[in-house]
Amino acid sequence: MALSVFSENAFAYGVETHAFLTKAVIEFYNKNFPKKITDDLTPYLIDGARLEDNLPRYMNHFYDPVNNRGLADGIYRGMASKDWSQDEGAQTALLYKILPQTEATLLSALQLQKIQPVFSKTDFTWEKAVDLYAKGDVEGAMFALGHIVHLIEDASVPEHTRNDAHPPYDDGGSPYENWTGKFNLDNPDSAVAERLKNKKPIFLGDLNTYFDAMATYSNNNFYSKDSIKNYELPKSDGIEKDGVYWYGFKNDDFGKYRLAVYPKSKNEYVWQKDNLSEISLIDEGQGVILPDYWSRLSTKAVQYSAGVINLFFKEGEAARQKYLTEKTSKPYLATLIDGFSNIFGSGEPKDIADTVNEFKLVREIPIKDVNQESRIRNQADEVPKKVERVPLSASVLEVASPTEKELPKIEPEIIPLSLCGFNTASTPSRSGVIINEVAWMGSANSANDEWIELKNISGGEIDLSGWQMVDLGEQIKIQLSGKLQAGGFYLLERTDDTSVPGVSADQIYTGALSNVGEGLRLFNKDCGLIDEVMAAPDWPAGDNSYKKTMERSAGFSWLNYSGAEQSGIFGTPKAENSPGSAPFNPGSSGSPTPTSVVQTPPPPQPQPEPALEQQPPVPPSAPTKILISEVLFDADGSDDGKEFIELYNPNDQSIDLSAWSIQHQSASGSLTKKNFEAGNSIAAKSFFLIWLGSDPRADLAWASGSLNNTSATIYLVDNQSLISTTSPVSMDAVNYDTANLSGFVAGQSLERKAFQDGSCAIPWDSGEYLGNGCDGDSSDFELRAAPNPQNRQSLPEPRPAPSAVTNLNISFSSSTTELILNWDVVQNLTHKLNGIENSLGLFKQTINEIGRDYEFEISATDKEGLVGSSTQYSYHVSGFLYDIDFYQDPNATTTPVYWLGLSWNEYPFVTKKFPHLASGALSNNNWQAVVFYYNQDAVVTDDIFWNDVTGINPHRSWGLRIPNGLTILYPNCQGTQSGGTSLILPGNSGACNGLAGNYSSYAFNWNEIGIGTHTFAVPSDQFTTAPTLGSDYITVAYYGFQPGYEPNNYGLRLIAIDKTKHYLR
Amino acid sequence: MLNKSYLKFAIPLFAILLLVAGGYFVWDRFFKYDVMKVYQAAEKKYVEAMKADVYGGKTPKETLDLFVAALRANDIDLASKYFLLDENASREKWVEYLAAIEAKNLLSKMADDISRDAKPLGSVYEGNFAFGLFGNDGTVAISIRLRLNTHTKVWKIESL
Repeated sequence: MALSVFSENAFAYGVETHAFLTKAVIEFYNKNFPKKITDDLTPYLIDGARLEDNLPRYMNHFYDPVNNRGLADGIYRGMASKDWSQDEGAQTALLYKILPQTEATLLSALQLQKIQPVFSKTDFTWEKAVDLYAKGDVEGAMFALGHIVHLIEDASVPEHTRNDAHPPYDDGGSPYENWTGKFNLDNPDSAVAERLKNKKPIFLGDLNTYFDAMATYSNNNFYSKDSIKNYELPKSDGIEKDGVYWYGFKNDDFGKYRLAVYPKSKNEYVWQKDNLSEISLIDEGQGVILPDYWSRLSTKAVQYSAGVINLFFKEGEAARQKYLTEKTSKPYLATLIDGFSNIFGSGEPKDIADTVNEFKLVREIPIKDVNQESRIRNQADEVPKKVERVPLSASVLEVASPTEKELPKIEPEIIPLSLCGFNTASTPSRSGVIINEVAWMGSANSANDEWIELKNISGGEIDLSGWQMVDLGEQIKIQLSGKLQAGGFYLLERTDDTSVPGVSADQIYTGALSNVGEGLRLFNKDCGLIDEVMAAPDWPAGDNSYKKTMERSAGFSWLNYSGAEQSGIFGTPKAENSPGSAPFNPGSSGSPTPTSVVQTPPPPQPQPEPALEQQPPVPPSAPTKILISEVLFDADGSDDGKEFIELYNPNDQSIDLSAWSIQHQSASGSLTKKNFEAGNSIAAKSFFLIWLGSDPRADLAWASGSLNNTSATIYLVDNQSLISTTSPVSMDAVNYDTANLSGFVAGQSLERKAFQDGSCAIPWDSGEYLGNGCDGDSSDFELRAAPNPQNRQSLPEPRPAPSAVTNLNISFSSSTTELILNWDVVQNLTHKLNGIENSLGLFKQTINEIGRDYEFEISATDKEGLVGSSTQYSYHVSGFLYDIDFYQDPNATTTPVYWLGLSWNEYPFVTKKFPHLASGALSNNNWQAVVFYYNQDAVVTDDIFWNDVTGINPHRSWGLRIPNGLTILYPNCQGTQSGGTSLILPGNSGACNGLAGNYSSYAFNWNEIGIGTHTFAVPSDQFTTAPTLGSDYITVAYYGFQPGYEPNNYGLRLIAIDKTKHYLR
Repeated sequence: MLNKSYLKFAIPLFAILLLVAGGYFVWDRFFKYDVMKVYQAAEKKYVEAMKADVYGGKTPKETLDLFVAALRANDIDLASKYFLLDENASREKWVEYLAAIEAKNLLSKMADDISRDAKPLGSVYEGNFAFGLFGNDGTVAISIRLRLNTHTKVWKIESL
């Protein structure tokens, strides 16, 4: 079968490099967005990213943004990855269905079972991922999304955006991919996370734009090996000499980076090819170009991919809402057909109701309930039981005057058959009956206990049949009935007869009176206007704070009730009005403002009006109230269910919010509000989240609320009455106008700055965990690219960072060449060891360098990312040999003689053994070798080779030789002398008998080992110049035999090099 | 009778036409350009050529030495065989390059220069190694880049 020739896939980043990059993407996404991809979903995303490389999908992983094409090099061709990612028809083509999967999954059987319907298909388009998410199959959605992330990652590889096929069988086709192939989940590049520390996700509008941006970046700024001359860009900013190469370099926001090697030395050799135009990406011996490429391309890939995931959730949420809506409205027949499809198609995702609770990221979208919505709206008029206030926040930017009244929408509950319209050009006649008293504010018992009183001021009885009372919005339309005696009262109570305890209603009505922008008109049976009272925008009298009714005086003016309370009523239902008192602020519903924020019930007895005290502005250094700390008023795409208002408590004590309200005033002046609910409170230095719509993170859901996208003012009010639009009083207020918000784009939030050391600071980066206590002037807010809604479960801010780690233990195992680090695990804290997150308390790292120091830095991070101070540790890994002594024989008189003295504490001093490559079993004779270099660092490579010392007869005097090695002489097992650039160490005495048949037959004589030291002759003829004291040195590398390599020449694997230089003494 | 005979002819004909049209549609939709076949053919050609390519040493230095020896022997056919095949399984450009040097009677000098001046530069990733000939400014004037032929385990000169 021809397929068998596909030995590996190197058509992009290696599969496991994709796994590592995708994990980095997830970590970066989780760090920057409130929605988290939980640990249980991470494997699906990673595996999806891996399996996009299934054959022959990767033919479609190219996108050349310059020519807007996929792979097209004359031999190979494929779709542009941008199109492939969104073309269901292409992905479900027969070709992809019939070929077997070529990459193995990492998912467990249980995990596979969850996504089996998706896993076995070939459609992993963006649309499919969104559709799966909408239908609640979040695991499947993550798996499909992984395929998209893979394509974005590939678009960061220059070969993939510069039409450079670099087929996998030609495994030198992409130096960049060859070099990056070493990074995988087991060997992550910790520098990626480090580079991302000060980076943010990149926000773009749609998937195509992401492909364009990522591909253009890699195409325009980097070369691929076989496309250097094919594109106009990149162009180097200059050429400079560094070491043994001339490099072309470019500057970008990361700094300077090497673009390529530019040959500049010309005519040094007469046979030299004119290769000055042949620039190269490979700089052997220095190796800085490919790391430079990786440092930028990997970082950008993660930034773009995190943005793509954010975009996915946005589109997924929108699709999900649509799906739910359609599902609830789907006719029975369609549901039935779906049912059959599910039974026989077996490919449809699970019902959302079955899965939604498994997915912690996703808020649950309730099915729209008009009745519930109506109920919520009605509750919006509930009035608080507290009376004291603080002055308007100094951070109010601007309060627009109302130009148009727009009342809160209240669902009508009674629809009379024939009603008078509110609008009329008539003037009230006030003939016979008047509106005498209005409890628009409700009572001290409840803000809902509203009532209206009419009075017959005529001299005789009046038949009210056919008369109507209508409010401004025509949401209250009351048909009156009965007869009203002269001087008598007619009491209308809202909802039921308990709105005025102890007094029987003449009629019950439904609907709420708004506290602002309202009006009442009384019509006779011919719709003639009899009387009216307008709240324009405020009622002419009445006290919402003290629940004092609005009473008619003899001159038809309006006064505040001035009597005592009875049964929670500050008014005179069905009784003569009180003498009345002039309203404090005619036209206003507000009341003067004490200074405390402490909640108190309404006064049990009438008391003098508090004097108006204007509180001095609160200085930035002394926050004493609840602040609106972050607002998302215009989400990217549809706003539905995405807007939020976050509050912050800068005080040192918890504040009860249950009697407060949050209010929104549009630029036109219309007001909407949401009352806080019982139990709502905000802890000291903590947050409270109000969500417009619903969301699992919400502490309070404002189901019907919506924030204007361009301009509005949001008030935090310490009561539940609608504020005055002319003289608003609130705890805090934020006005925004996008016309004045330079650089604003949808999706950004307004976030209040942090407050530290007497001044305001940006609320992210160094200010991320300092809270939002800045309360100074109109510059309190910043635009935040990645909104960060925090709720009551969020940790308080500012808070102390986690303590420094002081219990890191480090040890080294010579048998595994592992550095082993462990530390105490602390609940709710994760640790970062050299920039890599670790919650296990254990880290092992195989090393191949000994005789040097290793530096570690460890810090603890709380669950929201606040990092404690880091602690540096240094650990020295000693060499395997106790001593290495390189010296010149002082007794030699004519020809110089050199010696190498080695000492060891116990044998074997190299304890690591490699198992058989195929069987995994340890051999009886796992011999090792010590390799010596002269005046150079020991080379980290498995690529060493042997031959005999003479080069003539390989079976006469075996020795192990390596390029540039230093030759020593030693007695071998045969009883003769071996000479090679290494010392072969026998695994045991039995193997060192001259009969082993391999190199251990020529190992160091076993009888010499027990002494613990030996001095080896170093032939002087290998030195072109005599070694100099203190200048010339020897380095050492240790190799172990690994059976299974035969018959090729790679039987030795590197165990470690010793970084110590042993100078001639 | 005529109608019946006509139908006997027409129905199979229609069925055949339908089959042909359907087949064309499927071929055009799915198999007209078979990426797998193109890829497999290219890979097969390349891998077979690489498996047959045993010219070279087991170390980069060995290959370099063999190459130098071929230059000294004025054997450009042999010397070119130490170069790595390109994607099209060809090394024609290296034959032309060496022939041009031979025409200038510089093969021996080239051998001497490489033998004397080529210093190991090291590798950037596994399977890569280079020697450098340095210019007067101390930078690499010529890189002799080698790559391991993983099929035969011999080192090949990739570029010079």
